Amino acid sequence: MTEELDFLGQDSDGGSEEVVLTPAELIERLEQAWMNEKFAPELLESKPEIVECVMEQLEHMEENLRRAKREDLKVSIHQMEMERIRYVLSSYLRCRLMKIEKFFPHVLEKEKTRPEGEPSSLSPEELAFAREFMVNTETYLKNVALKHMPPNLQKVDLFRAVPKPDLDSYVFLRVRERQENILVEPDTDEQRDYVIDLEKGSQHLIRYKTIAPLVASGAVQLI
Amino acid sequence: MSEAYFRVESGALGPEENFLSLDDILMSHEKLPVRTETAMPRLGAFFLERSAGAETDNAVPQGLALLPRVECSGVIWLTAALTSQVQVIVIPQPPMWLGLQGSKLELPLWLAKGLFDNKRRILSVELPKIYQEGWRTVFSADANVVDLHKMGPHFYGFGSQLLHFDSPENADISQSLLQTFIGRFRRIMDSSQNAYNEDTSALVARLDEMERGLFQTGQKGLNDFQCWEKGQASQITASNLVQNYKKRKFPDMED
Repeated sequence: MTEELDFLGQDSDGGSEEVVLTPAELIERLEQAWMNEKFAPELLESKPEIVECVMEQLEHMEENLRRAKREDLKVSIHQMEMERIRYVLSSYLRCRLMKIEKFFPHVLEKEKTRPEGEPSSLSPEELAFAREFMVNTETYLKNVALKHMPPNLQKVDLFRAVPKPDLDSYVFLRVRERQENILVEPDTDEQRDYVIDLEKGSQHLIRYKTIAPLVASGAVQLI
Repeated sequence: MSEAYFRVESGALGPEENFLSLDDILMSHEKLPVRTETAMPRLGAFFLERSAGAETDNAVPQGLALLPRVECSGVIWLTAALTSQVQVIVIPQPPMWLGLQGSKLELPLWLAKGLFDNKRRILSVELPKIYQEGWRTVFSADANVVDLHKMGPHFYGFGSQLLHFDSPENADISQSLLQTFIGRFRRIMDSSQNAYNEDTSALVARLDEMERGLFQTGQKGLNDFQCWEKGQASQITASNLVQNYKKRKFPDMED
């Protein structure tokens, strides 16, 4: 697919990363981030570098297409590819926005209590969006219902009212790097904790909580 | 993903109900038979309203109907006194005798949950019939034939929240809920994935609310897929949130 990018620039490292990514790898990373985000029950880390790189690539491709001759087939194939990449990118961002809207008090709380070294799960724009959303929801609830209630009932604690992301939900995953000694907690009272090894290339159905750190590090891929 | 509006889903099957979920609010409004353990003086009228519906202030039969489930001693002579009057002014002052220990009431789930305490000072909860031994054996025999809608339209949700009341039968109840669902699930999935463009009322009549939600999700998936196959997926259509606004009737009238 991306091997057809023959008239694209050779240097694909658009961001400030030291690692040079070919366009193919960049798109693959975008697709992995997209699938992980779609199937994970909570909001994952934000990947601003991938998003920026992909946007730059898309701009380059558009410019090249405009300059190219009117060879219908090549131009339309490249346009189709650009549409597909654009769709994946916007679907990824839409998924993140949906999760922010769904879990906004918890997302903001996590951002507030985040230790310094950890990467943020919200890009700056998303953070602004989440804060505005919270303010708007509180204003709306106050004006529609709460101000008509008796004075001691005029508060609603959104942190407790809005449901938390369900980290116990089950997800399908494919293992990309071999992992050892994953501790699995029991579902029912009769079972006990047991330890499993994850072989490369195997697929499992497991609780999200158990493998959450592996998703963040890229060792498994949600499918 | 193409939804305009994401509803807050029911948390009833999990550890706690969701505060903002409409399904949970409807579910927790169902009644639960309960026995009071302590006296609740002067609160009788409040609970009376809860257990029997509207109170009126005339006619003898209604005066009797207002005291159906109270089984305290000493109440019989008061009932007789009330019925001998022509015009019964029912309970202007909250009667003390209704707050006696051991009276049976039916409270909604949210109220029972709020009043329930681990040291059981205030209430003790009795399980409704369908979660008891008799019906559990019916479910284990064949879960598919039971009309779960009649048995309380929120069978699974209510049953899951009942586990909060620390009854000794909790393990059996949870097993029974799980096995019932496993038994019925296959038919629901089958029927939802294969009923396209038909009247499905016969299929959903015997399902409870949670199963109906599952059925609708299955139907929606099926319809979306068929839409995509026909190539209608990229057509822009009016959002379901605005379809009923008055001004939109115009395009319908043209056809």
